[in-house]
Parts: sequence; C-alpha cells; structure tokens
Amino acid sequence: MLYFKGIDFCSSITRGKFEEIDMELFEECMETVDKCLTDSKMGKGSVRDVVLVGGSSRISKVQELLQDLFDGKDLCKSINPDEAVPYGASVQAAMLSEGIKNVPDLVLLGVTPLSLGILTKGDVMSVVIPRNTRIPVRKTQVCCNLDNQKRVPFSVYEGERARANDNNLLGSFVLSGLPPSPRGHPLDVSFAIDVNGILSVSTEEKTSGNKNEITIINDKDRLSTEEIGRLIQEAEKYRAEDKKFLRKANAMNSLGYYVYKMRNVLKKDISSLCSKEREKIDYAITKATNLLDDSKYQYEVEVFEDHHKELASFFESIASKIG
Amino acid sequence: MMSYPFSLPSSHTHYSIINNMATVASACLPSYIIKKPLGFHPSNLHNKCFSKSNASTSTLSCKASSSSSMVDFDLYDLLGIDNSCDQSQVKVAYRSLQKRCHPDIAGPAGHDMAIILNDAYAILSDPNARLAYDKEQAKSSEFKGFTGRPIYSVWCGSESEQRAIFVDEIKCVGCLKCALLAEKTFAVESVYGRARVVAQWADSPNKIDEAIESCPVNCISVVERSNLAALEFLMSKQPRGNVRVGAGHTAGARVSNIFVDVEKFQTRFQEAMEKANKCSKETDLQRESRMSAIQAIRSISNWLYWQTPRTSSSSSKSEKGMTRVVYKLPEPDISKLRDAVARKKVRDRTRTKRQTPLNCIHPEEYWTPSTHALPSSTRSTTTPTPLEKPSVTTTGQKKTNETYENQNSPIRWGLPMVTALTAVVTVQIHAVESTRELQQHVAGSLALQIVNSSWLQCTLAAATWYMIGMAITELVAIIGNRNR
Repeated sequence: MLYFKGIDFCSSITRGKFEEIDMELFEECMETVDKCLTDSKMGKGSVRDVVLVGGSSRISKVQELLQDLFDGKDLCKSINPDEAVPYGASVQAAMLSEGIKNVPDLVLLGVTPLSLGILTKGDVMSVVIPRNTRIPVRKTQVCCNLDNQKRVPFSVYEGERARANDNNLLGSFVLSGLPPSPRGHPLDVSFAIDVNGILSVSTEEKTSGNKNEITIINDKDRLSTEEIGRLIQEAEKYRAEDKKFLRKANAMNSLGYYVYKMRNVLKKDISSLCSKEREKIDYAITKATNLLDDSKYQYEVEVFEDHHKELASFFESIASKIG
Repeated sequence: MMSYPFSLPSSHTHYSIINNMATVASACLPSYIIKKPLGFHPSNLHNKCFSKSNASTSTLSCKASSSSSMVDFDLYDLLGIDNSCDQSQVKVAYRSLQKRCHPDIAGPAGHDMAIILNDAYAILSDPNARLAYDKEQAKSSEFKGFTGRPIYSVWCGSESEQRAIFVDEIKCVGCLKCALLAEKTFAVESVYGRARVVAQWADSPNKIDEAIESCPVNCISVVERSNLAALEFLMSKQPRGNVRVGAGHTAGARVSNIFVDVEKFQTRFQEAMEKANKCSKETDLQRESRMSAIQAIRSISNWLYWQTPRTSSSSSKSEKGMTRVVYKLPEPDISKLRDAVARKKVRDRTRTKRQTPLNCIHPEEYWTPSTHALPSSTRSTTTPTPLEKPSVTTTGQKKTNETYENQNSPIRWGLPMVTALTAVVTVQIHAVESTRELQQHVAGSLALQIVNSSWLQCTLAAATWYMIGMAITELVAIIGNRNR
C-alpha cells in the first residue's frame, strides 16, 4: 500500500511483473558481489558460507540469482537478516570495550576503499596506497624536485583515475625552505592510515631537515559510499582513456628528463664537436623544449616518442666523439 | 626504456641508481617518482597499470624486499611459521597474530604491529612476491656471519702491504712444516689438524717464503689483502674431514674453485651492501618504532609457538572456542524464530475461533424457515395429499433465497440436509394427524404399502428432498461463478 499526495494506494501485482520491473536492480546487486570477489582475489570456491543480510535478501528472485552466482551453493538463512547488522555492531563494540568477558575471538580488518596518492608532474596521479590495502598501513615514496626549486607543493588525492584532477582532492600543503639543488633531489613522502581511517601525509627533506604534514580525518571532504562506487565505475569506464593519458604523460616526462640530461652533458666538454653538430644539437633540444612547453596537450603521444628516438639516435653518434 | 649512454660524475652516482629504479618502474609512472615502500611491500605489485612481466615484478620486489630483510628480520620467523608452509597456514598465522595485535584489541600500542603484520602478509600471501622474497632470503643467508674482516688471522704486517698469506685447508695434510718454520704466522687448528694463518706477516719474509716452499701439497698461497676476509669466510664454510684419520683430500680443482668463488662473493656482497644503504634512508624515529613493534610481534609469536606443543589440549580448546562462536551466532535467532512460530500458532487458533461462529450461525439460520413452513402445512391439512407437495416446494424456494442473501457462498452439505430434515418432519406431522388408511391406489400394491407405512414415507421424502437440495446448491454455485 502506498501513500502519495494524501491518497492511499493499494494494488496487487504478480511475481513475474515485479521481477521484470526490478531485474536491473537485481543484476546490479550481482555485479557488486562479483566485483567484491574480484577485488579480494577470491574465487567462488573459497567462499565457505553465503550469509543473507538485510530485508531485500528476502526477495526470492534475489536468493535465486545469488544461488546461481555461487553455482548452486545453499544460502545460509539461519541468521535473521534484520538483526545481523546490529548484532555485528554489538560484537564490535564489545571488542572495543574493556572489561567485557566472553567476547568472540575475531577481529575486523578494514581496507581502504579507494587508492590514495599525490599529484606529480604532468597531472599524473601517483598512487602511494592502492585500493583494498589493509589498514593500518604506512608507506613511503620518494619523489624528485625540479632545478633549484625552493618550495614544493603536495596535493593529496583519492580515486582510481590516472589523471589527478579527475580524482577527489583531499588536501594540499607546501614544503618550503629547500636548499638549492639540481633536478632529481629526493624528497620522502609518507602516507599513514590508522585503524580509524585517519590519513596523515608527511614529507621531509633529509639534508635540511625541513618537514611538513597534513592530517585528513575521515568525515571531512571524504566521499560517501555512493560516490566511492561511482568513482570506481567511472575508472572502469574510462580505463582505455586513462591508459592513453598515462602513456602520453610518461613519454613527455621521459623526453623532458632526456633533454635535461643532454643539456648537462653538453655543458661540460663540447670542444671535440664541430659547429655544425653543435647547431644540430641545439636545434633538436630547442624543438623538444618547445614541444614540451607549448600546447602541452594537443600533440599525440607518438610525437613525443618519435622525437625521443630521434634525440637518442642523434646523441649516440655524438657520444662516441665525446668519449 | 632506453639507457642513457653518457657517463655521470661520481657525485651523481645515486642519481643514476634512482634513474635505474625509475626506468624499471616507469611503465605506468612518471620517471621522477621512485617507489620506496616502508618495510617490504612495493606498491607496484598491486598497481593495475603495472604492465611489466612477472620477471620485472620479481626484480623490483627483490630490490625492495632484500634491503628490508637484511636489515631487519625474517618474515617467516615473524609470523611463527616455516618457510615451506602453504598459503592456508600463512593466513592462519596472520589472522591469529592480528587478533592480538590489532588496535581494536591491543589498543594504540598495536598500531605499528598491525602495520608490519599487514606488510608481511601482503608479501607472503602473494605467490609472486613470496617467490621473490624466498630468492632474496636464499641470497642473504650466504652473508650471515660475514663482517668484512678476517675471521682467523690478525694483521701484523705494515699498513702499506697489500699481500696476504692464505692456506687452503682442504688440501692441507697436517705435516706441521709451515708451523715449525714460521711458528708465529702459522698454527694448526685442533679440530681437524690442518694448518691455518693466525698472524699475517708475523715472521720475517724469509721464514714465510721458506714455509711456503716447504709445503708438500702447495696449499699455501699469497693473495690480495682485500680478498683475505672473503677467502677465510668461504673457507670456514667448506666441508672437510679429519686429516689424522686419513680422509680423502679434495681434488686439485678445489683451489681454483675457491679463488673463483671469492670474486663472485665479493660482487654479490657489494650489491647487497648497496641495497642495505638505500634502506638506511628512512627516519630514525620510524626505525625505532618499527624495531620495537617487531620485538613485540616476535614475543607474541614465540608465545603462540610455545603454546603449540600442547597440541591436543590447545587445539581442542580452540575448536571448542570456534564451535561456541558458531553456536552463539544462530542461538538468539533460533529462540526468536520459535517465538514467531508460537505467535503464528496463536493466530491460527484465533482464526479457528472465528470460523466456529460461522458454522454455528448456519444451522440456526437454516432452521428458521422451518417455523414458517409449519403454518402452511397446518392449513393444507384438509386438502388432498397431492396439493401438499407444491406448498413444500414453495417453502424450499424461499429457503434458497434467504440462504443466498444471508451467506455469500452456501455450504454445500448444509442445504440438502436441511431440506431433507424439513421434509421428514412435515411427513411425520401429517402421518400423525391422518389415521385412516387407503384401501386402493392407482399406482398399485407397492404404492399402497408406501402410503400406509409411516417410516417408508419419511425415508422416501428425505431422500427426495436431499437430492433437490443438492441440485439447488449446485445451481446457485454456477450462478455465482457466472456473476464473478
């Protein structure tokens, strides 16, 4: 019976009609179960019991689909679906409390719902803690600065996309007071998640001892369950596009690094080169720099890769002369 | 990725190392980002974008895990398991430890312990990572006990001297000549009776040269000082027999083997040291917290391991505990299900009670028309017998209408019984009132007997009106179905 705009509505509906209307929702539930098994790297055979929890599990079509998904395995219906959740919450509360006896011998192991990482050169999401990592967890990653960079911004993101700005920004901070150093000077970035889901991101420069840190608590700027599911689905949808973006970003970064190395080598000893070769090298380096700086996202990845090969073959012929 | 052909100055050596790591990991990451996981779990193993083959993954994992394992601890020892156990045992060990180390159980003190357990389990539960870790463990074990300094001999020569004296103890026959000629430099060890250098250049070069020449099997040689430590370390691991008993000597190829092995050993050790240096980059505070957490995990692991010898009692207890846990979950639900069943039974009784009045009402309403039938029967007393039947038929029709109006659906066995009983009562009343008997009947002797016998009249009337009631009931049912 429905109550809509002050009108009581009551009608009968056949089982077949009901299942026909809701089949999309049922199939979505089955996809969620299948994805859960995939994420945890478990086969259907390694599932010991299928426990039905929640009022919707009473729908006979849902039970039928679940049984088919697990190859005819009998479903465990001895647990009241309406009471399973508060029962589990009570057990967890007992475990967290002191002085309570007869607590079941079990522990709740949480995982991170989304990957966590930082923004790196080329708008690339550099994952530090991948999805479904057990918490508590602590990981450290080394990243590099640019030439004579005195302050380095750090942006913390969560999500599954390869491009950082497509993910959810959690927070950002700046590490300043860096000593002048050439490109590639290492900086340590540490991610730590405690058992309550609180994320701490800290960074440190070893020589000067400069540090900075940011703490992101669970309820601030975090995503809800629906948004997490949406992000994961979007990552699946745009997987091909993300792969293409990553390939291009890697090509650009490797080309930029190669140009940087060539410049440093050429600063030292070029007396053995004739002026023609010198002009060729300068022209190639200038062309590569223009490729990288101007209209960054208009060229295809093949342009950067081809230019990288051109530079490499060019430099190989010169390297023998430099000795 | 292409390797950069130009040579870098020595001050940039670590950049080259970083660059190589970036090259390995750069299939899906920009080349400026190098993964250096705290502990022993490279994130790339689970990165979906990582498109390198298993060999590359193994290589990367080797690099990452070796630095941790050499500096810190053995993952198998940490979990309290043997390195040959299967995946299910790894999982059981991890879960049993996590039940005691998890912050939900152990409080804030368990934070670091849980982190390390998660890292250890992440490596040992992944077959590829575990294989790489096992390979690295095999490599590291050959360096156990190696300090970089000679084991037996002390240096008594000048600092500028770059040569050292080394005895191949496998070839030594224990003739004691070198020990007698240069008694400060050489000595005979007591276990197997073979010669050994105990003090480098303690005697004069002439005496040492004389001792070397006096050796009947040429097992004394002059080696590079930088190789002395490795040679003595490798020699200490060589199996040998007691020379007194006359055990067989190793073939001459042994000499070349050990001198070739020392070069490989030095190379591998250099690589391992470089990896160890990388690990030292982490913060001192982090290392201290990690070491204390590791010690705590080890103590718990030892405690669990110590409990294991009581296999029968402890396993039975754990089984009982698990059984109790299993029983505890459904117990409340079963009792509540029983309550629900009891409630359903109560409802069934209520329905039964409700149904009973319906049964009671029907006979009363069915008996009501019989009072109306009596006056019409009384009036027709003076009329002949054939005239009485039509009046009874009219009464039956009235009953049918009343039944249909009062009850939506007739009770099939009720109506025929009512009509039959009514007919019997009517016939009885009529029989009592009429005393005379007929002498003749048009139908014959049979009809005459029926008319004259009162019980035959009742039986015939009951049967006839029962059939009529049945027909009326079916007719009403058909009409009702059509209306629906």
